[in-house]
Amino acid sequence: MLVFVTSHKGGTGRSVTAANIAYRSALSGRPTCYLDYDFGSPTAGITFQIPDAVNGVEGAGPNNGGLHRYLRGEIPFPEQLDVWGSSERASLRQRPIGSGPLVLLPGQRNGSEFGFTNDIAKRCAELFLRLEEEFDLTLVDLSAGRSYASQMVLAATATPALRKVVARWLVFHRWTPQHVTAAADLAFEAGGILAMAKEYGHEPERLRESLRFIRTAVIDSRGPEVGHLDLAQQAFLRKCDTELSELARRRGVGRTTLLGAVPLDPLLQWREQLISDHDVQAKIANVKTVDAIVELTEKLFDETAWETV
Amino acid sequence: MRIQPRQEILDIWRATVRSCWEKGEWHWGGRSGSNSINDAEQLLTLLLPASKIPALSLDDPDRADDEVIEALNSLGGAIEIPRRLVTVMIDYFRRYTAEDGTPVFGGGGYLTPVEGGPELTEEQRSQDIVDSFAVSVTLTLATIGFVKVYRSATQRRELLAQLDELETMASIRLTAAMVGLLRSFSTFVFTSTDEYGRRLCDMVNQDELPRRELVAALREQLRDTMASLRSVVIGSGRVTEDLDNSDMLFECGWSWGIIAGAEEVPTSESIGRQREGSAENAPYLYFTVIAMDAIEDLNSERTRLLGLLNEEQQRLSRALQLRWELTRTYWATVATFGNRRRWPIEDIPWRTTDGDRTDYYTLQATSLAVKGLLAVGRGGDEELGRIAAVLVELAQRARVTRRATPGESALLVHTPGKRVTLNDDTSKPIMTWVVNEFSTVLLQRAITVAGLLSNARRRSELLELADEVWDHLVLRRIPDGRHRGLWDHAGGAFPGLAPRPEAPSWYLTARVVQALVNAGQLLWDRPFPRAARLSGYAQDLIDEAEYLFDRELMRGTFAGEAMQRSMRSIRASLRQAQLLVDERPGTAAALANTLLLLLNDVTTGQQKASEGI
Ligand SMILES: Nc1ncnc2c1ncn2[C@@H]1O[C@H](COP(=O)(O)OP(=O)(O)OP(=O)(O)O)[C@@H](O)[C@H]1O
Ligand SMILES: [Mg+2]
Repeated sequence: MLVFVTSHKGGTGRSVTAANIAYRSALSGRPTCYLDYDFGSPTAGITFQIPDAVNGVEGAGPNNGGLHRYLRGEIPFPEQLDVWGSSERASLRQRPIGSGPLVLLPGQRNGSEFGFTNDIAKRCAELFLRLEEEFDLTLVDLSAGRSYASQMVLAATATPALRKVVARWLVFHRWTPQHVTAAADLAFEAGGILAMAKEYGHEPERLRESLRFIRTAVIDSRGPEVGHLDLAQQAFLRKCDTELSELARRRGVGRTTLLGAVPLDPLLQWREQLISDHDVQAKIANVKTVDAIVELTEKLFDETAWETV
Repeated sequence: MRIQPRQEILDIWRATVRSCWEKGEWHWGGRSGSNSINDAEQLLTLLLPASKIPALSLDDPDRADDEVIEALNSLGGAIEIPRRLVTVMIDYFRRYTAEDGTPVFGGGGYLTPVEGGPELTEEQRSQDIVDSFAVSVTLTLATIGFVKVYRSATQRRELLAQLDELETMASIRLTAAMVGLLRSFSTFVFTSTDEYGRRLCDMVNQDELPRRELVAALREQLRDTMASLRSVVIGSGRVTEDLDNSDMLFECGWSWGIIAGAEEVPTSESIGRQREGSAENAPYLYFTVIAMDAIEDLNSERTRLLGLLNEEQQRLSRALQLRWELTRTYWATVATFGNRRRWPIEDIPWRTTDGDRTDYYTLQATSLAVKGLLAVGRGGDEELGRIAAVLVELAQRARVTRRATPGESALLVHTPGKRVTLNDDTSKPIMTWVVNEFSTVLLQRAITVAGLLSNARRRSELLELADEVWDHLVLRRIPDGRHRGLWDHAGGAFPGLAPRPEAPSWYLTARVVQALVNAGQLLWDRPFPRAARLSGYAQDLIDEAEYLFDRELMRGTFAGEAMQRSMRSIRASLRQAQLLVDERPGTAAALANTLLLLLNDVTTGQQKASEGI
């Protein structure tokens, strides 16, 4: 299965959440790979804590290099880093029993964004096909907004060979009026994902059915975390929450198109990283965060979560 | 009010799905088995609050409240819950439609043989019952409303097809139920000197007037009603006797089923066969009240706003409305006739014209009396207060708010319940209908009447009664096992009265839910009555605070940046207090109080300073 993650705005928590989803997917035994298609700032190496791939890989010569070089046709294959083997985090390096392979396809250091051509789209499609054979889950982190990366993957997935492959879209957004509106725009409005998809020959309705939203860094306005606030503040938050829900519903970003929400997490707030079960045991990360990510991961694979309402 | 309708309803919902939903399937039936009434009540336990209280709606997965979804989560998530409900509803309507497409309204296990009589035949059990017409009206309206909203929230083709099917079935059943109600309406005419007339006169003659005078006065008060009875032409209840005769009296309301010989009601809707009736042509208080409440649902604002009725149904609804108005005025007149000493309804227990007497009938009559009082503009606090007093007394007499001695006959009304004998057209008893709804009806009445009172004190006194009845009902919840949290375990309130039940009574559970919905609407829709004196008091406080504040301003006390902020906040609070003084005088007074204390700090500080010099 191919999963494309995107967001309208930068800094929504898209990359970190997606990396954690990949991690949880691998932990549950599914062969998983993560592709850093955020060509402007390939930072996945930091999240997976792979020193050689911080801000992309340096690779040069006829065989080494990140996704940029591959897509441009400079190398036959992009580098694939085994996260279990190359992360500098001890808890990641010992691959947990029962887990599947977890592989990162990093970007190229100083690669910068680039326009796309038919050749590039073709190579992209070939890559996806190859990865689809090897992995249960191929997670592609596109950059924010209406990017070349999105165009490229839409063109790639429209090719006959890839049409049969299950492809899903996740749009990340924070839980504020601006983010909700922006996420809806990115998905449904002019120049957005559905519109672009149509241009490349996708059936917009089918794409709509395989598109879901994920809310990040959400404060539960009814949860214990707001207990220390003033009564007036709590009441205010609840009202905001209700109004936001209504806005989201109107814009098509309501509960029925929601895959899940990740709570605001103190650890993620301070650092972009994978949350291990040990982090939870040591109480530096919230168990609720991990639960939410695990639930998201399971829902990716759960057909009922993808039925039309 | 100590009752928390939202929490309680959610708890009942949890209990309902625990009891009914097992391994992905809905299980019909309860203490008296599955029948068209029981099953509707089972569904209404979920659908009634969902359709009447916006915060508990289930018809739009995007809008449903998180807590609601959590309560029903064994049915699935937000998206599955309404889908499951649709299949359950479809199942209901299919179960109670005969093969030829005629909706059926049988009472099944709710009907019992007359004492010492033979077992009921299958045919008797499947006879159309007014209770089923009434509950079907409420259920179908809730269903159609649900479908209308849900339809716009979904795009799935097969679901849309299901919704169409569901709406069609619900609409047909609704029409059939309305036709049923038109064919079970009864006007029973008698002379003032026969046994019925004598009983009626005895009941209403609280002022001890001479008989002739009494009859004349009663007829005078009912003159308009008698005139309007002539407009009753379709279905049953048409008057053939000469009501102009000064010796004639009558009663109107609903019998227990289709009246023997009732004509068919012509209708353009395909509701199948209109079955022959066999019920006695006489109003039964129980069925009258229940039919009246259902007709009220037909004419509710929600029904109109959502456009739940089609044209044919609107026509039938107007015909029912006429009967509703006649019945309401009749009963209000009789229940509050004369007024020197006491109203007939205050003379507990109520005696019916067929010679029956029970506190329960008094309770039923209060419902009709309140509707009638409101209609004729007599629904002031004075009149409603008298009804409230009746409710308080009924609660005591039924041992709801008084301790019971074991074996007391007053407890029979709770279990097994009041036995209503259903007669055929020759007035021969053929079956009985046992009603044990006393406490739940009492709760409903207390809440409804409280909502009508405009005096805050009286209102809270009556809500105190509601709270006490609720405490009593809580004791009667099934305490453990799969059906825990549902009703009815009468032994919980009256130890030893009844063994622990094997299965829930949906009859009672649905009525509890209905009462909670009323309580919810009281909080949701009805403004809090204002206490006049409190507003005056609050205004005085505000005036004083304003004066003190202005004086300090004049003195220049608030000059300087630090004090400016306090000044602005005092000014803002003063303005807010002034805005609230009419709507929420208590809050306004509290605000003014804090301001007075603040200003007192200022003056005290100044005094202390001058002491030092
Ligand atoms: N649930 C969360 N709670 C608190 N902070 C979070 C959460 N999720 C992500 N963050 C933090 O938000 C910041 C932005 O996250 P991230 O880099 O993943 O966003 P992005 O959408 O990929 O941004 P960009 O578009 O710039 O790539 C990071 O510091 C991250 O750790
Ligand atoms: Mg990123």
